[in-house]
Amino acid sequence: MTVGLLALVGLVLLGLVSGSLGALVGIGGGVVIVPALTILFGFDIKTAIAASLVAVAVTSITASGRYVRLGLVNTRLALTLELATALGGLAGGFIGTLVPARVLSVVFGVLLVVTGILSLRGHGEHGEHVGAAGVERAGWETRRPLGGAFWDERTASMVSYTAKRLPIGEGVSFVAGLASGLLGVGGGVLKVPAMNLGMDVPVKVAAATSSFMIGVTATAGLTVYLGRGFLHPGVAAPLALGVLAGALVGTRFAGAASPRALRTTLGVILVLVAVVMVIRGAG
Amino acid sequence: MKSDSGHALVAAVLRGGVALGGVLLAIGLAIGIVAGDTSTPALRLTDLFAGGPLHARLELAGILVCGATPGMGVLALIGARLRERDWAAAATATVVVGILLVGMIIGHV
Repeated sequence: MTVGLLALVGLVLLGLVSGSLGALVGIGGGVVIVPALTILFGFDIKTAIAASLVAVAVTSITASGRYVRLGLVNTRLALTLELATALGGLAGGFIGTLVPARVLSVVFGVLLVVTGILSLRGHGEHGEHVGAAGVERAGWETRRPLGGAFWDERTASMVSYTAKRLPIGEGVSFVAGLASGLLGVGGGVLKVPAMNLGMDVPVKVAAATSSFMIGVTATAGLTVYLGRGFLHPGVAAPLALGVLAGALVGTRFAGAASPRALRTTLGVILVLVAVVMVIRGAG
Repeated sequence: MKSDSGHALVAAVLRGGVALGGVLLAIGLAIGIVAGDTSTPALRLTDLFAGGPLHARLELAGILVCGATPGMGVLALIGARLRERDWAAAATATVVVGILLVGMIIGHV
């Protein structure tokens, strides 16, 4: 396979857009990258998924490298939910032969429409402003209950929060893992609204925590595709470099963005992705 | 109880992975463009030191660094939580790594 210079530039641009949006709202972008690589660039689906998993991993480490340092990622919450995602991924691998991917694609799409509308309409600005004087501008975590605090650049104050209704987060994370195992997507599009709307976690923490989680999930999938010989470095490398640059830009804007703007962006992305998923399922 | 001692370590691991992976990817891509060789064979892990053109192997090395970095971040977290004697968080992270390893092994079989 050969990638021409024009396609190479296109891959970098696709990575730039996907990386910046992904870092901003906590998604990996696999549900956008895979259709773009197959439909616009003409790559086969397995090459596209392998390249997409590389892009998700790069978005994750670039964005969460900054978010972890700022204390926006709740690592305890991330790994508690990742437990369900990993189990869902395993289950997805086992039941993949029983449920047609088309059916799951439509179900996943409908679920995204619902969460997208909830994100657009919801009141997801959770957390309590606890003042600015005499506090360090870095977040922290609490062990029990799962929660913590973070420095909100926009309001110049510390915001404390507690994650509620953990079973909702675990349930949605399991479904995200299931979708990851069956459809080759990261599941960040489900995890962010689950944390924000279902568990009352502030949207900035939800997006940052999801950024950290999707990298762990993508790594597991990537090793499988690498082992089976579906990874074309010439496709994945320019995409990954674009994603890296885009994610660096996205994380700069995330700190100062308003929760409402982030939720609206996420909601629009969710609805667009849902349309793609339903079309893929129906087609 | 407040706790954020693991954040600095994990952030350092993630940022180090981004820097190293990014440099390898950029060098590999640049060599391919300069040499006028934009072929992209499918490579496996074992091709890193033996198979394929140099630019593709450098790109593969960059991809491997980026792909391994999230796992290294979780391992760093396990170390940080053990140091804090937060056994529950350390156990959760260890089980996550275990499940992912099982998934990878099943996927390869």
